[in-house]
Amino acid sequence: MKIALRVNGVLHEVDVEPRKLLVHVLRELGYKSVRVGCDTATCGACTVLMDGRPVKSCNVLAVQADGAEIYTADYSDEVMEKLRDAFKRHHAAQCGFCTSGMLTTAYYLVRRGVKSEEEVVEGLSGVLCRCTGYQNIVNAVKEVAGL
Amino acid sequence: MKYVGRPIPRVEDELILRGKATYVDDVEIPGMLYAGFVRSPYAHARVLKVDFSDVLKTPGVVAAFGPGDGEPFSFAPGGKVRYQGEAVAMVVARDRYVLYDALEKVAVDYEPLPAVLDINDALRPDAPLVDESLGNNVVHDKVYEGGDPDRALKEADVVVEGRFVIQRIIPSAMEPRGVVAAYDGDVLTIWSSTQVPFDVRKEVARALGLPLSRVRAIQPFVGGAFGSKLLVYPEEVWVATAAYRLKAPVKWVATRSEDFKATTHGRALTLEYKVGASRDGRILAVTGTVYADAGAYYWGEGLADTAAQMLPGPYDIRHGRVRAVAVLTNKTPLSAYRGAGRPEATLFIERIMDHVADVLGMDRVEIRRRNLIRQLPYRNVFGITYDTGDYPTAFERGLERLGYRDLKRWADEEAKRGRIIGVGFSVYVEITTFGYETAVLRAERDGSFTLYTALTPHGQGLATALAQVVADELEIPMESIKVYWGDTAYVGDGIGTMGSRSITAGGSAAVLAARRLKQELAKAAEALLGCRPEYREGVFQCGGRSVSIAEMVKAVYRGKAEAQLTVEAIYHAEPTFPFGVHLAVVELDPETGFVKPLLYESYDDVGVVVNPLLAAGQVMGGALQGIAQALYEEAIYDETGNLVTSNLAFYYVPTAAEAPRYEVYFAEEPHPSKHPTGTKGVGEAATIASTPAVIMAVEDAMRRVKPGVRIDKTPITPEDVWRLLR
Amino acid sequence: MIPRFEYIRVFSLPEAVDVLSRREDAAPLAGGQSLIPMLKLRVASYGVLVDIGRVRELRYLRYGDVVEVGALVRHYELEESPCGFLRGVAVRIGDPQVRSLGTVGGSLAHADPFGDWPAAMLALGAVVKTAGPDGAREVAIDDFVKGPYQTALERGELVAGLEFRCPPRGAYVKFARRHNDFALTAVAVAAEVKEGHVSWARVAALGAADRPVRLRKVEALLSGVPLTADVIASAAEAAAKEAQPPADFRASAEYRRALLSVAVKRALGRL
Ligand SMILES: Cc1cc2nc3c(=O)[nH]c(=O)nc-3n(C[C@H](O)[C@H](O)[C@H](O)COP(=O)(O)OP(=O)(O)OC[C@H]3O[C@@H](n4cnc5c(N)ncnc54)[C@H](O)[C@@H]3O)c2cc1C
Ligand code: FES
Ligand code: FES
Repeated sequence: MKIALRVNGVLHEVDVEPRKLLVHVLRELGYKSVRVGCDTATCGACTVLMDGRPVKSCNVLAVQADGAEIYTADYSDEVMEKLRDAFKRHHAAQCGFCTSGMLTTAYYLVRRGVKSEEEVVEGLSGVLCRCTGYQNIVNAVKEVAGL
Repeated sequence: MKYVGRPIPRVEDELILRGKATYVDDVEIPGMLYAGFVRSPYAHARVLKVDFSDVLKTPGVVAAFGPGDGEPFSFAPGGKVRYQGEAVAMVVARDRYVLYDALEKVAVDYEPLPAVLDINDALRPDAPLVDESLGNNVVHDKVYEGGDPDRALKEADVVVEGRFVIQRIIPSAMEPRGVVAAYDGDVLTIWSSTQVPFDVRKEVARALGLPLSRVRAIQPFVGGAFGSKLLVYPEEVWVATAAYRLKAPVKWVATRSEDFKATTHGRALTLEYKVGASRDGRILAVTGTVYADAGAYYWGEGLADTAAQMLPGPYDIRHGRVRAVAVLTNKTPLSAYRGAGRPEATLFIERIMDHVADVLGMDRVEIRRRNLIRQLPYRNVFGITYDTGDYPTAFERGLERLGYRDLKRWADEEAKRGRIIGVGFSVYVEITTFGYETAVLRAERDGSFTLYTALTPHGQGLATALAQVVADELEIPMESIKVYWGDTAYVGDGIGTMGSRSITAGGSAAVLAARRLKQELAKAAEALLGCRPEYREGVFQCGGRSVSIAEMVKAVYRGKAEAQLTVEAIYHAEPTFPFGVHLAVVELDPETGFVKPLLYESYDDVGVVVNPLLAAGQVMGGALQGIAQALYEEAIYDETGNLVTSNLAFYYVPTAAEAPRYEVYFAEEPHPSKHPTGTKGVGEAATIASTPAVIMAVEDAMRRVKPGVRIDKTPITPEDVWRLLR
Repeated sequence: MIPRFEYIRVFSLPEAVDVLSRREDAAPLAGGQSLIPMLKLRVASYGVLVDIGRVRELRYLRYGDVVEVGALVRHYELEESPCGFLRGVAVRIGDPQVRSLGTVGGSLAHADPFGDWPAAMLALGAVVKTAGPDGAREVAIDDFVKGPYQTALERGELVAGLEFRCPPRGAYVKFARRHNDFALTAVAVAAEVKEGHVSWARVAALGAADRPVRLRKVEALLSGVPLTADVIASAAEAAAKEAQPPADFRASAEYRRALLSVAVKRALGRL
């Protein structure tokens, strides 16, 4: 089935098997920052923004996403660069496997205007990180969100 | 310009934060084939027949390998599978989706056998045997002894006995294991999500009869490991063999559910203990048996032994006898998990200290004070020599720095308002660093340096830390040093990142390489300058003349001077011993048994801290893993040997919402190790210290509701708390 | 990796019903947050997936005298609902990503015994509006969930939406092992309190039986009396007595029973 995806502003038209997960299609399109860490939609490593909301791209069929506007951790704009800078200074990434999911989720939170540390924590709760213990990630996001 | 000691952000982050870091699943080679495994649904079964006739007819399927295919396809050794998830066959297909359809078409006939899942059952004389050739399920049994424990127990005022059970942990690195292998007719290259590319190379070369020089193992970016990727796994050999035979690139990446069964588990030690103490709180003897629930194959050598030998911890205990027993069961093989034996030893001895304190009616701080080792170096009762430190001072300063007394007072105040807070702490000494490590350093024509390390970082930030120590040694800007790792084409052999050894063993190797390279260049500089030069900040000078490193290197290439531009250092490291005090604060909901970790604090003497930013990162991440061991995680099997907690939805790796706030301190006057870097290692400290600190905190909170309750297992789940409080 | 299926995207309710009633091995695909994980783990497979995600008739949310929630309303859309009770439920479901896609209708139809919406809707006394080959039906929520993963939906029939009144007072208390995991147990209370007396209360629980159930004895106890500490305590006790909780690796029946009692107490305390 032919579908269209706008990823980080770039339009892709691809022919996909209906059973193909969005995460696999994105990775095949070269968006390797979108990672797979589980098979139960738990880990959040595959999180992308789809039509303005964070979703787990391993839990969406590519055909469902037909026509969607998608942003991945490859994206660059002022907010994303600020997040990158803050992640670096706060040492918010270790092995880096969760980092794309953290960045996309954080991007959503900052854009939405999170108002408190609790909101940041709840907002990030769908992305598991095994390395950092989370504090540095939470602090990086708080900083960019002006909290 | 000194870099060591400064909180320098990581150089690795450029790639990671742009999503450009290449993990094994990101390795793409034209013509890639995908491998997958048929795995046993049974915990224990004879494999009667594996039938590929259907699967080989499936379009898109390229090959299948099974027990009949001979070495190195060691599927179902001895004709049986010994744990749920053990591989019985491998299928190779052109597409990942086709592959998973195909896997269902492999017909396997099993004859289920009774499974043995619990060490107590496994030790019974009539127990089913995991490995018939052993005659029983005990695969390892060794006694560690020192002093005269029997007499000491007899002479003790009190003898305290108990049992503490540590659960099975699923390491759950966020990246599941995976392998890509490609053979171009000349060189066999293997990319693996591993901590040990050198071992992977050796094992694959051996299995295929290839010279080491034609096998190259690459460790790409690795999404966490925590000890679960430090063995060479059969899949690495199998995928490499398939690529070699099919002369095509082959990729296998485990699904999470597959990884939970096919990647080693950790912890799973039980201690039965009997200790003797004097009335004034001195521990006179520690005796007991450590049992390891080793799983189906004895891959976790030394886990029970490390726990036994480190059982005395930071305490001066002169008599001891601890048996280390490993018992086979029909579960995923046990191996290292962050700390590998030391977290267990620490949890055991800290629980023993609390138990004895309770029996004697003594304060938990006081009993530790009375038993801490006063003089270092110190040889413990099992013959392990702790190198440097001042435990009594660090203990007192640590407790003060962490605000132990104030927090206890605060908890009392809160209790008056009906809020139940528990405060706990732990003390640990850890053994780190063993074996050798290799560094290769090359001076480049432009004055920059290339360092190849045999370390295998997977999140620790070693490219940054190594650049720091080498930059200091060479007195040059860090930016002039590029660190490469994880490729057997760069370095002949080495061990890798594990056991908190990296900056000490590998960093010291790098420092030595830098020193030698400086000496090499100095010789050449002397020839060029005609006098014996001094070296400062990248420049050799004497007699009013000077020559920069870049000029030196160019001179060597032009034949104007002679020097080795690439030097290798192989550093053999003796163990070293970090020490610390950690503290945990939890809040208890007595009606439900739910426990929320509020605060976690650490105070460590880990010798020289190369990069406090990275070291603190290790502490916080390690702490959450130990907290999770205390409160959340457990591999649960049902009575048939089916892994119930078979994926991340059922296995409780904590989210951001479960994490406490952390405060990380390092000793103001650390005791360096004797290694060139002066470091002792920080990767596991908090994983070791956090579980006992949290358990003490939970017990402390629970005792506000019900005095005298004692926790004798991990994890302590809300239901466990609730039961104990009833 | 998901087994093969035929994918049919529909744009209207009649079209959806038509395909679903014609194809025996067809299932609707809404948010996919329960269906796709099952397909990935290969514990479920269907010949046809009918993607109802673009059916406009199922995407409405109206707050009037009654609240009308279309089947395709996503969990997150209720996180900031003017109806406080709905907010309290929505924010406790899964994580933000799951709430971005998961739908209320899908939750009801899926009838996961540990799903939040079925219990919440039970407390609300919602009417489930369905659409099927034989036309539209209205099924009282009490008759809708028939068992674990079983509902009153007939072949080819869809949940079209839900209708209920936003309760004057309501509370949702959920206990989970990990942040917003599926519940060990949860209690939903909808009630009206007039002049200090409970005029009516509907109390539903999950993790109290093999499906979401109403705690009738608790409701009876509350009716017409003031919400005193004593009443709350006896309601909590009654809940424990009334429940037949399931046991699994997450919790024993006994512990669930105890939690349920606490949940009832806390939910009533929050009214
Ligand atoms: C990580 C994770 C955590 C979660 N945590 C929670 C939680 O804490 N609490 C909770 O309640 N849920 C939780 N869920 C499940 C989530 O809420 C789902 O969204 C919900 O259960 C199903 O809604 P859906 O729209 O995604 O349905 P789908 O997955 O699309 O469908 C589910 C089932 O319902 C059928 N169906 C869907 N829509 C209709 C309809 N309109 N009419 C008839 N049949 C229909 C489908 O055929 C399928 O059988 C979690 C899910 C994940 C992945
Ligand atoms: S891969 Fe784990 S949530 Fe998508
Ligand atoms: S940095 Fe490794 S999982 Fe988050």
